[in-house]
Amino acid sequence: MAVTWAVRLVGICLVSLMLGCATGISREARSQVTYYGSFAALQTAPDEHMGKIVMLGGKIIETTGSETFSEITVLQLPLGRRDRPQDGDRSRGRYLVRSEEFLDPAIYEKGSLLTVVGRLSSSEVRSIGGFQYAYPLVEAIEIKLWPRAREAYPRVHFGIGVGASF
Amino acid sequence: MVSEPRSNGTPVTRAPEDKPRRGCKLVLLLLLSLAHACMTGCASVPSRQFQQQVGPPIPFQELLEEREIHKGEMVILGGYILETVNEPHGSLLTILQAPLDSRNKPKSQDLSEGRFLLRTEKFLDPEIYTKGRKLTVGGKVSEVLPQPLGNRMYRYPVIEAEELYLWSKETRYIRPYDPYYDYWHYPWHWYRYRPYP
Repeated sequence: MAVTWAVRLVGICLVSLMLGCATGISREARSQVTYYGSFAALQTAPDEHMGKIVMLGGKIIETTGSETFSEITVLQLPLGRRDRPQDGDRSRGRYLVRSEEFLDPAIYEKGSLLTVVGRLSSSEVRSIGGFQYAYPLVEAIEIKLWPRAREAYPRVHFGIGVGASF
Repeated sequence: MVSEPRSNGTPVTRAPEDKPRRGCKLVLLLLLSLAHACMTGCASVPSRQFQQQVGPPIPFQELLEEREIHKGEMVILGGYILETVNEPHGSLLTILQAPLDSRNKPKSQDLSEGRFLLRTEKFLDPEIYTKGRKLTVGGKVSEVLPQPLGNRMYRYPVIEAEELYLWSKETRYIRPYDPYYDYWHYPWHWYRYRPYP
């Protein structure tokens, strides 16, 4: 009796672990990725890698939409655990994500983190101030928008203390 | 913790070859982590090579007063970004000067003595070099550029950047309101309900 309960408990733990560790990008999308090089290399020679499928992370700068497609300007960030972008100053540049679906600018808002799997298309040159910037363009296959991290503090507090009451 | 019974005078003995080796490992680990902390924590800003080129520090007021004597000299300055403007062949940053501390990190912006412009050939993304961020620069004193500031003209000293350091954002830990937070008994929550104050 006790043994079966133990087995059940272990099973429940395993399942919850597997659910909890699910990555942001689906297995199908991830298996399509064909480019594993650096973002810097991709940016210096965008045409060389055209048609390849990449997985990139970043922070949204702007989301715009037209009748036929939506477009997100993203500040690239390196990917960390579970394909989540690591926020910080380690950006190597910018890129554009284009999707045929409607992406609401109120949901895909400035400052949110995202991970995208998509096909590299020809790069686009646009101006940032007076600077002509060549944006690599990614046709989105799958976009994962990460929930905004709350000003987190540990919900569970473990304390070890030695005390005496009189 | 398992407390081992000790008879008077005879300590509990372990395998003799086990203990010193573990001690060695611990010392090695400690040394390694110390070395790592030194290498990452004590990296100088700007680099040592640059600091060797810099003469005695020039008061910022002197740079503002448009003295040609300082042109071409190497300086270390810092402050808070006011604006990042991208140009066809580089970037121009407006900086609110602030005095530097011993690690060359800008102190409070309330101590500012003025502004300066920072010119670099690199493209600096305005989404990273955002307003309000701390920055330290090692560079060469260039010309003075008058630019409108409100209703007047401000004479900005221009620094040609050689080395640039953007300080990481300070994430201050703010404790949200916690109704169960109890200063008096802080880590020992289970003594909270003592019947006396």
